[in-house]
Amino acid sequence: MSFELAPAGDFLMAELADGVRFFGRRSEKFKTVNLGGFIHRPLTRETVTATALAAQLLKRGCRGYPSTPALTRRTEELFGAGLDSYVMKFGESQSVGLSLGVVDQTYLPEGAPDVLGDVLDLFFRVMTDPVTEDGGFRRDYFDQERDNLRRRIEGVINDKQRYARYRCLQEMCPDEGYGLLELGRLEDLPDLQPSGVYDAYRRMLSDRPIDLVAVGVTDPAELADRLAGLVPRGTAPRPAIRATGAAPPPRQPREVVEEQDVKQGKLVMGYRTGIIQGDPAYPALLGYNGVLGGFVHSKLFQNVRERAGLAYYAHSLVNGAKGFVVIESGVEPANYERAREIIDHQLAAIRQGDISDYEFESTRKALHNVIRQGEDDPSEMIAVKLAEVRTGRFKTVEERLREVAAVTREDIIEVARRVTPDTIYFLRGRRKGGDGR
Amino acid sequence: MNLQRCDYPAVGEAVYAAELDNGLRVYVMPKRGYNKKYATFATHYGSVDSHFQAPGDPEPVNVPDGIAHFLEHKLFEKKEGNVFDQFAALGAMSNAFTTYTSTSYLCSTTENFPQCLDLLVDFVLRPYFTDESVAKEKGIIAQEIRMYEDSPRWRLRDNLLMALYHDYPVRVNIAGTVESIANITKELLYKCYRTFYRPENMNLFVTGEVDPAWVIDRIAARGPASGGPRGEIKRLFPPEPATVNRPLVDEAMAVAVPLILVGFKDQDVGYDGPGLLDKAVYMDVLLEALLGRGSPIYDSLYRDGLIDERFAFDYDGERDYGYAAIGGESRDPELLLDRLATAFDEVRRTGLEPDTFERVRRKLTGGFIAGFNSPDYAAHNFTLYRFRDVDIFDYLTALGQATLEGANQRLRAFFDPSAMAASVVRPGGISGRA
Repeated sequence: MSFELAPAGDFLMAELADGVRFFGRRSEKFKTVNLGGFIHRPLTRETVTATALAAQLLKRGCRGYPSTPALTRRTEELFGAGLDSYVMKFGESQSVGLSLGVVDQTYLPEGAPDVLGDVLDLFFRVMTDPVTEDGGFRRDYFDQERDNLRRRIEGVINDKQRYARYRCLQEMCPDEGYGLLELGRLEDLPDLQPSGVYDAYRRMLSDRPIDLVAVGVTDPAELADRLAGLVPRGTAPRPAIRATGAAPPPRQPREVVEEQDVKQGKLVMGYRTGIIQGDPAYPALLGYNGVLGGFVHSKLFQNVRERAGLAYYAHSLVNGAKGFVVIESGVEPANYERAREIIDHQLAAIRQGDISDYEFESTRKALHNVIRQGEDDPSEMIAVKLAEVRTGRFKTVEERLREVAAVTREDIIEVARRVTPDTIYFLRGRRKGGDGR
Repeated sequence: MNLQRCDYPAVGEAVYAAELDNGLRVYVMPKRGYNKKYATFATHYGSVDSHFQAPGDPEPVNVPDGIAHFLEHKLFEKKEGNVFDQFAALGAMSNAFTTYTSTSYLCSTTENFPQCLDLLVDFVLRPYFTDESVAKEKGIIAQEIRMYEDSPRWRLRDNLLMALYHDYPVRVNIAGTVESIANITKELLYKCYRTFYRPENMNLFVTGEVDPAWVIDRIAARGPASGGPRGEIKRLFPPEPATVNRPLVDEAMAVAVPLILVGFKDQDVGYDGPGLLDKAVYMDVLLEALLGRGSPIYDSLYRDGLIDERFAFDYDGERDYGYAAIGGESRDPELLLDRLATAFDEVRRTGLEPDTFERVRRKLTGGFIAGFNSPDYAAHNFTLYRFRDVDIFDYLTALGQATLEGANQRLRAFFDPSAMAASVVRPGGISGRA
């Protein structure tokens, strides 16, 4: 069988089966072939935990390698093919992801078998044929992964910066799927059963869209042929998943303060812009973020850290699926008001058009640099393509470069007018005792 | 200029090397097809070098803990402004990091590489410290230290090194403490700078689609001056007993799940070069064979819910110290510690199986080759190993020449129960010391 490959940005794409798409990019400079496989579903309260658990169970074993040591040893024999399964969210969608990276045959000892063929075979066994018992996931593995998932959800609090960001986004999205932790909800865990989680995963495999994204030395047409014989066949149409979702009605900005035994406060400020990846204004949003806090030349780093010396980190980032801008900084609770004041001042400055030549030009160059450097990293290339897949607009690198080069100061000021405060979250040390500086 | 080319066909790379008149060593690894050009300028000077005697000095000096890292921050600041800004204006990204034994400055760019390379060389070789900027930096670094103090994984690692070492300065956090950095002055910064930022103590590594001869000429033409009288920098370290300092350090923090890191202190230290590389290779093989996801120990601990998939291990081996660290989150740190101790005891008696040894060598081979997809990985590994008098590309040869007998010998010597210590971070404010 041979596929008609159509361009999708710099990649070539083919529909290998109904709702199963392949995106491949040949790149001779890498020493590996990297492949990502993603099965998508809407991110909902009812399904989030079972999906996360299934993702953890896939890597435990599969047909032919029915235990974790057996499966791991197989990947190690294949020169350490990094084969992994995990859960992720993107906007209002949740995905089970599988990834592998395998060293290209040219670097292997002479006479080594067809390692890529063996690894692809293993990849799809893990995706479509996980180890089971009594019509469900293997019971002991199920129990272990359920415990692990519980500890991981509980353990989100261990990384304070990540925890503070998650809490801010959760406060921003009480009624949106995105407010859920991609790992799921503690309260769902006791009721999950091996057969129910397995059945739900099987349904995903047969009626949800699947994307396969590959970067490496291999010719995409050849890879498409190899994959076509391995991908799961659906039993129902696989309707596209809308990752970007609808915005909730506007509301008053909110402030949330949480206390823990921390030495440094973690400030996270969430803003909505209504501009999502794929929108015509999206490059201007990237420009806005570059002027505000995306880089070391940006206003936040320059003013909160370099001028005022209040923080080690002060930056902002864009969430493309939701159209959020999120500001983060680690500050002493005693300096909270001052930090807020400086940050608010930067936001106001951009709205009023106070963007220096230096800030504007550095942002354009930095965005250019980031886009081009992304082409030197297979995992980043796969991540960028996946985000495009989820928003439905494919672009070449040249197009992306042209778009950011075309952003004007006026475009950025226009974005600034659409930046609406939603939630200010502050994680701080406990107030009683010791903190009265 | 004597430009030497070394080919490494097993990884498909080549490195061009030259030593400039002032003693600076320059290495270029061309990478065809890459957009990014990446350069690191590094000095063999890290947080442990707080007691030293510069060439020509009558006697040694002690400097405050954390000064190497402080100096790294301050080198970015110049009379005309911050170097970050100058790189940003060129469309480049710049950064720096300090380890126990090295400080590296880097720039990464797809445009204006000649100017970026000039800027990198110039800013690292041209310090500008003032009382005012030193004072301001204390506030920023204090926040950086506070951030580490709130990070359970940082605390866990710091505490482990405190448990393993009595006096050797690897037991002190790289950034120092809020108290120690308070004693840093611009005079002390200049002292450290003049001692360690001399070209013969540094190396410069460039990778990307570049012409090696051009790079080396360009750097030579910037004429980095000699760093004053040449000679050996005497690095003074307190004598370190072979024993561990304390078997256990534990701390309570705002965490939900306890964390544990088990360490083994390397008793076989005091050399670098090929011997150090061989040791590092054996340590990679042993840790992977004993504790990797394919190992019976991992499987049994995982199945009993004592570890999760973030369970990790590493070995850090320098000339004068070395240790392995093993651990992650665990619902029952004491039980995990017991189980690990018993497992090490047993495997020291039985030794590794030949097929395990082969399988792990394959995994490490694949991982090493794949690493060279990344210019950053190549630059950092190459540079840090150069300071240990090791060519990182010899890794695959050393791995190929490693023997099962050699591995088993090191296994028995290294995983000695008397060399073991543990660090635990527990939830809450109560210290449930065992």
